[in-house]
Parts: sequence; C-alpha cells; structure tokens
Amino acid sequence: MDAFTVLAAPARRSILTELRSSARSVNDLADRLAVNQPTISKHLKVLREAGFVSCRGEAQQRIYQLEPGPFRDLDAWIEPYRRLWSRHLDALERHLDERTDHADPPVPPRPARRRRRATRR
Amino acid sequence: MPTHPYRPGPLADVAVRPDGDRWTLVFVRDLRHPPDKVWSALTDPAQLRAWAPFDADRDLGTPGTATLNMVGGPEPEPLAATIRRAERPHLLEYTWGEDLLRWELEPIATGTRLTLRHTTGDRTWIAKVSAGWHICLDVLDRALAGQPVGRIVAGDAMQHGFEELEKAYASRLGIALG
Repeated sequence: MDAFTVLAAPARRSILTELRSSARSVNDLADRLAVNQPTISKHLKVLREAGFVSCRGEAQQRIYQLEPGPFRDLDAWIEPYRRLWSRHLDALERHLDERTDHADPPVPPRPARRRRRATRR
Repeated sequence: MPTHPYRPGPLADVAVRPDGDRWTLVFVRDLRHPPDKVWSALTDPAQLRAWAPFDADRDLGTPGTATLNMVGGPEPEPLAATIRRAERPHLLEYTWGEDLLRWELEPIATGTRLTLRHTTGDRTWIAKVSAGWHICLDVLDRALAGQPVGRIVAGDAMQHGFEELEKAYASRLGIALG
C-alpha cells in the first residue's frame, strides 16, 4: 500500500498523531482513541507494513513508535510543490510591487488620505 | 421493541494461553438456549445486528469470505473475514481482521455451553476482549430470551460497566493493565 493510501484513513492519521508525543502500547492507543481492538490491530498492521511505525515487545505487550523513513519520502515528494508555491508567492509579490509603482487607482484629492499615504512611505 | 435495563452478569470462566507469538482467550459461558438457536444468532446477519460488534454482509454459516463491518465507531471499519469451519450447530471458526474467533457450542441440560476462543496479537488486549465479549454475550442471551436490552457496542459499552469488567477480568487472568 503506498504512503498516501496508508494516510488516507483518518483512523491511521489519528494513531500517528498519538504516537508523535511518545511510543505507546495498543491498549493505550485504544483508550486514547476509543477505537475497538480488531480495528486498531488492523490499522497498526498497515502502518507497520508501510514502515510508518515499528513495534517492540515489552513483557508480553507491544509498544508502537513512529519511524521517520516514510515521512522523509513524503517530504521529498512535496518539496517541488513547495517550491512551486514559493514561485507563485514571488510572482504575487512582483505583481503587488508593480501595482504600487504604476497601477494604483487615481487617488481622490482628499488631504487626509494623502497624508496617511505620505506617512507610510 | 421494548428494551430492558442492562447490568453485566457474573464473570465468565476465562483463561489465556500462548499460541505461537500470539495469545488466545478461552471464554466459557452458558446460555439459556439450545445450540441450534444460538447457532442462528451467531451466523444470521439480522440476528447479529441485535448483539454483535459488527454487521455481516452475509450469513456466516458457510465457509468462504465475508466482510464484517465494525459498528459504533467514528467511521465505517470493514474487516475481512474468512469462515474456515462451519459445522452447525457445534463449531464455527473465522478470521476477523488479524484475529481468529472459534465458537464451540455444546448442549447442556440448561441450554448451551459456549466456548469462545479469540486469538489476538497482544496479551494485554485479552482483558479488554473479555469485557467486550462479556457484554455482547449478555446482550445475546437476553435477546434470545425475548428481553432485548439493545445492542451495546463501542462507546456505549463504557456506560455499561466495561471498565469495571475489564479490571475484573484482568485481575482474574493475571494481566497488568497499562
């Protein structure tokens, strides 16, 4: 299952959120999320197989923790879009610059407003 | 249909056994109804709706695959099931998500001795699992007696003594809750 399919389930995102603050046992997760046992077992298995969490046995109970790998992959996937977004923001900024310099609507000859604009510059 | 007030009945006879790297709860409970009647309640989707924690997409009385939809949660949770054994009215065994459920029905003078074996991954689950089945089987017994209390699953169970039952079963099974 690819990372986005794994994260498409709200229950799995809730589990990851709970694991952000600390590693937790299944019992602890079930209590915090009010999710029944077969359901949480199912989601933990998916998360484990996709590498988002790992589990270690501790005296007959399993403790789950986050693994950074898939999150790094997600971040790498998003990175070009982040750059695209920042290019858009650059374009927006240029656009605003141009409007300030050349394309401001004519200012009505009201002394009060002109004074405000003067103080800002 | 009128419903009756519900309080959990006495604790069932329980044990926990290792099963490879997993654990099996053995939960023994007598029901006041003959095996054939209990069998129908375990397999017929309409009857499952009265007491089980899931809705079944087909009758569970024949081998093959089925989907069991968990009820009462914040979102639909379909769990895949494979019915491995279906020998009316004695033995029903199916996978339930990652878990395995095996229901054995034995006729006794007062009705049926039900032995449920539930295999799951984590030993600390077993107390929760016991409390869950305790409530479900109480509800099943009352529904078969014509005194329905209404299905009690998920969050509703918290209002019906789930935590007390979980503690009591943990103590009986020697499981530390953590």
